Amino acid sequence: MVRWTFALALGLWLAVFATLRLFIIPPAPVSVLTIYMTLVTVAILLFVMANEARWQGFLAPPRAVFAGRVSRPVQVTVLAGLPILVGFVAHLRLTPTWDAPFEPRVVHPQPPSSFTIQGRRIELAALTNPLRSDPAALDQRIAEGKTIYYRNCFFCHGDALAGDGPFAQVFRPLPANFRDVGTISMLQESFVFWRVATGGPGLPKGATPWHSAMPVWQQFLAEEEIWKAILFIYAGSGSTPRTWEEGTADVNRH
Amino acid sequence: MGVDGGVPASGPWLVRTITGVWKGVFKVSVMLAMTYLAAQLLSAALPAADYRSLPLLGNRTAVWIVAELHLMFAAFVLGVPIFALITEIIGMATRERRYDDLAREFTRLLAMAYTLTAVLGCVLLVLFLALYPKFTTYMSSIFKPTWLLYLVLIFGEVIVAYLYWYTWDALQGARKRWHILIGLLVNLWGTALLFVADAWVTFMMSPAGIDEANNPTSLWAAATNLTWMPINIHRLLANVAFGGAIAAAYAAFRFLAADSDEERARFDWMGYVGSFIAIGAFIPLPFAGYWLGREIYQFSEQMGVSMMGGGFSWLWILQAMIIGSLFFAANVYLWLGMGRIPGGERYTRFQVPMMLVLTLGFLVWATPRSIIATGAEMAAMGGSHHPFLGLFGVMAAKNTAVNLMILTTFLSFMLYRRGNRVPTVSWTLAGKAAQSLAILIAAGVVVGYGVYSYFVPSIVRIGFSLYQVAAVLVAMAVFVAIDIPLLKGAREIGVIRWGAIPERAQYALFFLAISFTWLMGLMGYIRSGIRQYWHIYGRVADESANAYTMTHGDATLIVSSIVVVFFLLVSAVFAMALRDGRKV
Amino acid sequence: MLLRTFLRIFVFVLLVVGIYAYVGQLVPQFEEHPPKKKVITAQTGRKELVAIGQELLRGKGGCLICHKDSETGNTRGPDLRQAAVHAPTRRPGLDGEAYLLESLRDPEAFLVEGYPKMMSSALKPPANLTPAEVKAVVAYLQSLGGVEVSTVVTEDDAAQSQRAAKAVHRGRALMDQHACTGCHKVEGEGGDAAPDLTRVAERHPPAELLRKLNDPAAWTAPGFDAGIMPSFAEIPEGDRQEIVAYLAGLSGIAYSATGAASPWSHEGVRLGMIILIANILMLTALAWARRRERREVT
Repeated sequence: MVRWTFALALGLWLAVFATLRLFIIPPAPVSVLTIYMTLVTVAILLFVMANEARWQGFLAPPRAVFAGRVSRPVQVTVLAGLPILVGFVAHLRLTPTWDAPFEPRVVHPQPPSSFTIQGRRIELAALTNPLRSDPAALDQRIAEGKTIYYRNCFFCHGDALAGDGPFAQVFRPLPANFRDVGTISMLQESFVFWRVATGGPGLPKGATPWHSAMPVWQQFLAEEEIWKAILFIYAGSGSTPRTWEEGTADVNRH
Repeated sequence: MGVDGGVPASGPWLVRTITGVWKGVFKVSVMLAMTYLAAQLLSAALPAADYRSLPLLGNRTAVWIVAELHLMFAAFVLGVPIFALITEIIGMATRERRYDDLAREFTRLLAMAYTLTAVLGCVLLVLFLALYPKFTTYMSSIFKPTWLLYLVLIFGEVIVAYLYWYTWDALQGARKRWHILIGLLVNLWGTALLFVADAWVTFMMSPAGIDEANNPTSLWAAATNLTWMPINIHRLLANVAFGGAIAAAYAAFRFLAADSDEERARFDWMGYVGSFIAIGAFIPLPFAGYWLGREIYQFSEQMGVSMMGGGFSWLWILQAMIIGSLFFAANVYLWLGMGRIPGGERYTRFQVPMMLVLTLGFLVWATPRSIIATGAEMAAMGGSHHPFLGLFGVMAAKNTAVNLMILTTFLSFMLYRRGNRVPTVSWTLAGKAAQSLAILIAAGVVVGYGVYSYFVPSIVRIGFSLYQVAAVLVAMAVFVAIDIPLLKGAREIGVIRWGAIPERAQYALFFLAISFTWLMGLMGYIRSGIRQYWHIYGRVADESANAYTMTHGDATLIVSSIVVVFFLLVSAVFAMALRDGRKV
Repeated sequence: MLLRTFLRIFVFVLLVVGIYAYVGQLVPQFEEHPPKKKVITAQTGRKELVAIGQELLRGKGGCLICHKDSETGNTRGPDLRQAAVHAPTRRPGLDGEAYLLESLRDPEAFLVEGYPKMMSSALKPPANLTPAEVKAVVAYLQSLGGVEVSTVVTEDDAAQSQRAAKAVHRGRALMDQHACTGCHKVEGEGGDAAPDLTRVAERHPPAELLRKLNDPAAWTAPGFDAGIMPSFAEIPEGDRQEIVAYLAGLSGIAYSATGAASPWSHEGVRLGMIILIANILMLTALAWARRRERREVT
């Protein structure tokens, strides 16, 4: 076993690379793949190092190559192959592509402590959805929210609230997918309200570069209409807003 | 030198002790006098202003570097006595001389570090008074009584710490108890110092005890603000971990520089104990961190979001990377250590599944919440969230991963402990089965809750992390509880060959120390940075030119510089300890 | 050997730290700057204007030192909750908004019955509001009284306001904030009820000025009545120091607000004495131990 350490390590590395490359669907972004492969490389190396016998077994083949204890063709292949491999990787990294540049951004930009809506200042910390205070009328409000959603939001955020409306494909970043566990269900309603009301232009500097096409909805909708639409996107996507107080999370569950 | 209890009541050791303690007190006195004079001179010479700017470095960077270095040395001098005392107590209980020597070796590192801590503290104070006069004045208007208390505590700490060191040989044998008592006092004073200093820092994060117009109303409320206790606990644990890591690095250095096998054996063992302390104290740290995070959210949701989800979220990727690497390094060190244990090879085959769990855990742990993707990649993913990888980006997955990694590291250590021993009790098989079961159940609970938490609202999910931790802790307790009787009277295959470990194991110890230090610098920056443009969050704004939040790249460069300077200074301290050690 | 080991380790330190620093460069880089100070422009919304006005009443304007805008408060000046309601009927020929503007810009033009002549123009210290800020206060008063908010900030107001904003010494800002300039004149601005403080530091050293602030009964300038000035012992010490530093500076006397306010100055010397005594005590103990040791040896 120990004799084959080097081959095993190399084989394992290639197998992991192939798996990550081929079997993650849709394909993992290069940034993530880089992180993963770096870690896997380090892990394999460390594992090999963690045992003296393994380590010596691992070092033996490269030592043999550099000390000339292998046949000439093998030596030539390795010594010529390594620079070519490095050169090829460099070539791959430097070739220009037609891709739009990276979009480094944070998923949940930090909200301001207060913001202005229709000329009125609102403290975000104390903000709750006023329409939730009347559970009896909730279904009615959600129905109204649905109408508002289909008149305004549907075109981008889609029929199934999955961020795949008819206009969605022209935007980068794509419109938010409300069915994703990582979007609205991670957020408090006050946060969602802030994002809807102030739209892309309301995003803080810390979230840049974020070329969000989200309109400033407070210019088109009344405050209550925004709240109704928010009620609907939660109810329609089957998620609940994030809360910090116990108990209140149940309000929206039917 | 008399070590076996036969020391006279007075004599050379008394003179030496008083001289040593007085030297310590004198040093602090001189430093304080210099600080006072420097502060007076500077404030008299400089024109009145709210802020003054330091050429070259700039206010913030200067204060940052000095404060962080001060903090690192302070963490070291507060952390080391904690486990020096524990080691000493173990030595007293087991009557093994080598533990007592080890505790002494730990304490030896302290003396110079104290001086450096104090010097850095004084420089920091002068910088504050000179560069941030208005803010410092405001802080002292609230905390003045605690400054006096702090001063008293500093002198107390210096006196007991030097007493602890100089009475080591005199208080042996029957009088050991008194020495332990002094050690206890060192730790009490040290902890008190930490708590007082934390009051100032946490007040800046979560101010309390001041009225609308920022006038102080209650010093007690200001000191015991919302984040005070979480930071106290967090720092106390981190100090022990940090102290252990640095002590292990010292041992690794001595190992590499050793001339004899005997010396190598001694420092190999010291490095092992140091790393064990570091990892042991490190494991509960994330939980203390969660508590702190929770309190920050409680105090200000906005502050919490800017820490975890906003601009600072990128730095947590770095943190994840370092923590994962620490787990790697700790396990590799233990496995390499197996090489010096006869019979250790029996457990080599476990390394494959353990490495697998660690690597998978690390992969999950390092999966970014906010994925960096090109437009085409995003279109392929159908949004900014990857439908599959996105599952690993959230807290639920990361909690699960880190709990499994903790469990694996624990298992590594337990196998290491068993290395050369073969249980001889009649119920060996049943015992081993019960232990495996405990580990498996814990892993099952961790994974089960991890998966389940995707289906519940966040408030419930947060509670789950508690169950996961509890399962891991219970499994560990059960394992150890069985392990102790199981290994009683166990047959030993051979004696551990201390010193027979490859040099790269020592580099694993350095890696631990460097990573701990860097992590400490980074976490310090995040804690301080989330105040953004506030001196005192939400109350006193930073109106200087340095109020902006710098780019992460610049911040990490500064943290890196601080770490390099720290290691240079620490080398100087160690070199001096080495010189003194050879002299005695 | 030692040095070589050290160098090897140091290179390792640089390597690990370098990797971390490199990863730090890979994440998105951006700077976040503190929010801009609120500036009133012609585009400022009505509700925001009202909110700014409310803040001015409490803060910079210092109006609530004499007036009140809620159930509790000071009654030296008229109750501001009713100001906008009564405004249209106060002065013939002036509508509500015009009256309120005049009452702020030139308070002495009309006095509400039963109240003395004591307010100085809001455009001058201590309030020192800009024209746009005066409009904001009027907007707040109108909304407070429940009448329609009719006041509008013009481009001209905004432009004038920008000119008016200039750097002020912090001590001076504090004097305005704590209404010192309501009674005292400094640098040609302020009230006449109390002595001109422009050159006061030539007559009294800083320590005396501090004492006067803490205890107004300490002395009274000739020609003025004693017992008028309130005590300022309540305001933070740092602020008092700043005021004294400002006044000292007007007379060309260097006085550092911060040095004197630092906790090291007052008790510094006393603390130093205590520490010195502790050192001497320890030295005495040392001498005693040495003597004992010598005795035992002989």
